[in-house]
Amino acid sequence: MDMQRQIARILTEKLNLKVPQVDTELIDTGILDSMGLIELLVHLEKEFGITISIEELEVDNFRSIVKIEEFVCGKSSTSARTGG
Amino acid sequence: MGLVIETYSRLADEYNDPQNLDSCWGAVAGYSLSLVTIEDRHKVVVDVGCGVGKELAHLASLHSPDVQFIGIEPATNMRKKAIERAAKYPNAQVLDGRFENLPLESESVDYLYSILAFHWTADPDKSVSELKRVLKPTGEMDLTFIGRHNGQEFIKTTTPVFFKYMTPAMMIRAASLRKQLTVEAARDLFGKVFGARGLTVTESYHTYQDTLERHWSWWVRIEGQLVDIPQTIREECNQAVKTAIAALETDAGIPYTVHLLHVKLRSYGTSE
Repeated sequence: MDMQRQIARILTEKLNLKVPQVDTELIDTGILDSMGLIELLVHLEKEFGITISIEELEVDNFRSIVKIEEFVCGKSSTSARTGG
Repeated sequence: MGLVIETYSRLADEYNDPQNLDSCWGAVAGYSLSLVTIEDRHKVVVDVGCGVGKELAHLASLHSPDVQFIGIEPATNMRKKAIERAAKYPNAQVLDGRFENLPLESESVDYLYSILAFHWTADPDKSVSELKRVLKPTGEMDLTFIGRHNGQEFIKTTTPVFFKYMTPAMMIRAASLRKQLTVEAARDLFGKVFGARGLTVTESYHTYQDTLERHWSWWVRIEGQLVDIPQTIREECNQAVKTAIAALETDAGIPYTVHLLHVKLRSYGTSE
């Protein structure tokens, strides 16, 4: 399954959110709230095997499925480089 | 003392303010009180998170002196007020404690209730174990607390505003102060300790329409205190949040929907 579909599945099945498009704005529309963000981070860590420190997060990383994918890819390549 | 307990301690004087009692929270507390069911067999009754002791004193006044009422409240100033209020009733006392650490003997409680407090627990698993520990094997319980989908109207409209003034880390820290469970998660949490027998976990939604000023008075007093925003931009953020809430206004008022969870434990075969 490609990463965008995997992220879309987390948002719809795990968080019960309606996200019609991969570029649907999640923050300004209020679709993703702070508790949803916590749940999303837990699922991203679990499904993609990455470690996220909340201090490093930027709101722009979570504006859409596309942005979340970029964030996860960035984390994965960092993890691969550092071997962690 | 944690931020939540500190905030509530500071708010003790305003808690019985008519504006607070008449707000959506006063109405939900009243509904929750109507679910409290004290039977003749209940000789030791406990209220966890009793606040200023309003419900505890009310119930103590309705029951015979051989029923012992114990209120438990972690916020110092709230507890002081509850102690003053309970002083009128020789069968009522108020102790320092919290869900995670109840100052009660094991298997000593016949009936335990809690109104709008369990969502503030710092450790849900430990709290449920404590409830199980202090209840007698025949013990019964009614807890009401807010659920995952609480206040969605406000959340939807204010989240984008908060993301302008707060970093995701600040938002996550504020959201983590409260444990807002879905009904399924609450069923799992209580079910794994109490089992399915006699336990029901239900949810309900209660929509209250109010004016901007009246909603704002509880919002800024409680929620506003928990938002960790530098003082320099706090006023600007508050104003932006107020504007966002005002935009929800319809002819009926501004809606706020409370998502309420009710955990009910009945001793098998004794009722319903």
